[in-house]
Amino acid sequence: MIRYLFFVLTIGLGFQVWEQDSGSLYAQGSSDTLEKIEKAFRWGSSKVLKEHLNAFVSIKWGDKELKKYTQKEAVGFFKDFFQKYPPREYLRIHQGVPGKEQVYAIARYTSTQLGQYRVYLLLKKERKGKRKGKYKIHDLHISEE
Amino acid sequence: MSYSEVSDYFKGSSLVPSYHSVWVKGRSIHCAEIGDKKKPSVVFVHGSPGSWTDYIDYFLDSALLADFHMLSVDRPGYGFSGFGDPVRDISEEAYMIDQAISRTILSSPEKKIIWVGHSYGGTVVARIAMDYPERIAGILFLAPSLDPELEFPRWYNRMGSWGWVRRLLPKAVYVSNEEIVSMSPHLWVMDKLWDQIRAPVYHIHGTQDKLVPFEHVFYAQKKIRKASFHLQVLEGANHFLPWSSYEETVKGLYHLRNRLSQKGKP
Repeated sequence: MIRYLFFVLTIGLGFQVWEQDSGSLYAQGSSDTLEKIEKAFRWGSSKVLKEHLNAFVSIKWGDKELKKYTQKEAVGFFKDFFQKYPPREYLRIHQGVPGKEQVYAIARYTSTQLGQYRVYLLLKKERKGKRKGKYKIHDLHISEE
Repeated sequence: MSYSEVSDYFKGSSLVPSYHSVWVKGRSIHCAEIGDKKKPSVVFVHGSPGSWTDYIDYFLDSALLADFHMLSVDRPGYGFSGFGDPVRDISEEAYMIDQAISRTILSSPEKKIIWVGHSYGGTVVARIAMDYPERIAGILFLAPSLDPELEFPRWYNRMGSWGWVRRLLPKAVYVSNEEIVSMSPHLWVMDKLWDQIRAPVYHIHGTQDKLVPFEHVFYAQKKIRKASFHLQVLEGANHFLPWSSYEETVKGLYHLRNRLSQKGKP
């Protein structure tokens, strides 16, 4: 019985280590992506942001209804957004566990137009294709503070 | 918590809960009730594991007692609702709880209810709202598990289902593990039913929730399209909102009640 228990615990711990290792391979991926997204917001660059947008992105802006945009439409949305609310500061406040299938982040975006906004974004890890393992923005919500 | 411990809790209180055990689908569903039935009814559904007493502090709140009729249920497999015998099908559980509360305990089966669900209890409440939308006045989600992509059994959950490991687990942990192991396919079924929800939703979630991560919020916001959706983000809060974020929970209840009074009484 003790031998059997030892065997199960060893297997269990093995799985745990494997799970953490395979997670850490991607942990850097999600952190890198979040850093690049931060730069895009700091620079007010929809072009830089484009690289990190999924083919379809759900965007919620203020009290308006959540809307699904194609990547091209989303780029247009942010081009307008950055023109109307040019960036002064972008500060990440919270984020989910790096390397998971889905990782969220919450940031405070301050515009030179004296507006302060909360940005909620959700990254998902690509599961197949050339971009397997890369993180893309699937959801982005911006609300005034 | 035993009946005598609960009695001690209510010592000196002007109101004490009454208890009901209702037979549904060959199983007794137990719940506690307090307050005036003429007031808007709120039903609390606990997480996994848990029991009706998870919400006992709300039963002692004089402000809430002045404004609400409150019920708290022992979900099947917990407390006095067949302790140790899990129900693995969320839809079946939703049916049992809805039947026990709406048909038997409330004075009028037509009365609409504000449902509060924490964690797995939130999942069950979502299913009740999908299957019986006509009886829902509002939904208060406290860190609910909703996104099927995020809910899958981990290796330790699978191990917990092995025969001899199962026998070593405390009963409440065993029931909880069985619920988690069988949850994913039910969430995928629910994935197609979100448009059935028409009652206002108030969703509270902590950013530091390690058990049901904040990522679930994005799913809820995307899926709830036919009802109003209010999100309350609690920065730095953990998973245990009924206890750690009492004020925010009560605020959510009043938000839903005020929407009711705008529309007319339930």
